[in-house]
Amino acid sequence: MSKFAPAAAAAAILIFTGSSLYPFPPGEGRSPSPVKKVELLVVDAGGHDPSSSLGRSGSPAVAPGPIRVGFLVELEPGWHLYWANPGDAGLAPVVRWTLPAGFEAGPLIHPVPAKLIDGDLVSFEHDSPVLLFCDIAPAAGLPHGCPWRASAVLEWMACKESCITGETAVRLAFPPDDAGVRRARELAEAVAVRFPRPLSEGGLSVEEARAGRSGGDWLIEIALSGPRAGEAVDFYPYPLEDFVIGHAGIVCRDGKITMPLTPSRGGGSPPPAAVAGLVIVGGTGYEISAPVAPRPPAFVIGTQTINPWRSHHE
Amino acid sequence: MNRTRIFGALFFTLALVVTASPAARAAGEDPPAVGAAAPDFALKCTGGGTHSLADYKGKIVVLEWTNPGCPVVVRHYKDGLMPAAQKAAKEKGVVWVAVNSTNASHKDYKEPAALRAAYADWKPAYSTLLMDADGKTGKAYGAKTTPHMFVIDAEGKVVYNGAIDNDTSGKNPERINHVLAAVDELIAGKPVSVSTTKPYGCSVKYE
Repeated sequence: MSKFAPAAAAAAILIFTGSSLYPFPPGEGRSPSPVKKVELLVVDAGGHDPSSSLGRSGSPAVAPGPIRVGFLVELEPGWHLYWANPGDAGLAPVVRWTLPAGFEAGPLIHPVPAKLIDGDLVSFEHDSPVLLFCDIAPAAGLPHGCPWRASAVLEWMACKESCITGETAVRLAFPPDDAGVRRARELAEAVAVRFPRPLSEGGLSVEEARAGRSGGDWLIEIALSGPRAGEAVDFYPYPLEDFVIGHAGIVCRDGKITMPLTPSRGGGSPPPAAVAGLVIVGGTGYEISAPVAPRPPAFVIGTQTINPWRSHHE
Repeated sequence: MNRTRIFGALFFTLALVVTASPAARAAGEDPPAVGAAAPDFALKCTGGGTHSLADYKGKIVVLEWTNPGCPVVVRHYKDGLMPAAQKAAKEKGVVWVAVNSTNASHKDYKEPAALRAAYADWKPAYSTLLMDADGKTGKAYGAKTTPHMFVIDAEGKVVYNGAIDNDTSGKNPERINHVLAAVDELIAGKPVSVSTTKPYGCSVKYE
């Protein structure tokens, strides 16, 4: 039974169910698609819909913001999709948009994933149903309430015992009708707890992030502060270009996160300028993004080794 | 399947749901870092006989972890990218060894003859296709995905570990084949500039 069953009972004219295409290994016949359904719905019209309040000039009383849409993906039992950082294996979903001129779509916004460890492999997965948000900025000067249409192709890898890749095409019509808005709002409220929260809401802040050498690798150390810093139990990193993250080596303990990174271009490469991801506290994922400072090298006075970073912060 | 769930996305509980104990690493050391000696192996070939890394001493060797049940592997073969890379490397004197570490109880597992046949329509150009059903060689190298590529220099050191290319979706005509780039740099006597990348694809189906 769908986890969104109560909300799903409502009708929604603006929601289009997608059609899927996927390859399959030769000689094995076509397997049933693990993706039962993909729907694209308007979650928040951002003040662009005709029902939003207007000022004297006929423009919205409040400046309109981006339009939040959601891809609702239902999978066959036991199958999963992947987070923005799939981990050591798997592929994150990707969307290809066809939007009206002047419109721009942001990246997919994922719920907090489940972390799975299989031997030495770490993966970050989403169980069904999966709701992925995306913010769309309409063209500047678009008349209030102006109707428009868009389409998207969601590329996915779904895995259970084995994996299948495919893509599903979906369409969207704007503005949504009232029933569609109600259903989308109920869906969004039902899954709100699954999405990352700002770090400040968790009673946390980043004291600093430093990079130290570990052979040819970098070891990133993120020091957390705040009343709940000691409750942080894990860190799910976002992908880092030009580095391979040692997911199995990530440790989060006593308010400090350590994460090994192997640079793609060898040991002489500088550390990343910043790291980002989710700190897991009390069952919730809190977003962090922190600039990385190089860790000062230890120096020797007489027979005593002085490490200025350790002496101040550990 | 030996999978441990650390964090449930639905209920956000901190309870650990352990589905089974994690697989133990194969006897031996940690997987080799780039620059370290490549672990030797002795694996049965799908065409008969046993091949070891020592057989190729003095040659550049490419190791390709593969599984024809993985759609990412299928794409690379059906699109002709993997056979073309194999052919290009072999023409430069490189030995290209494909390894299948799928365990015998997995639905993707194929007996040697069937495994060889699964690739036939794609006209592969690997030097040999080896069976590693117990996964010991895969784990010794730290192979995580199919495909996952390793380049070993003529002195037997790992000089590249990672993805076949930088095109996870298969839609970028400007893709860079990291393996061929590493081979070209080795042949030119240069250090391998991109020595580690994140491999992408399906997980290796270890037992």
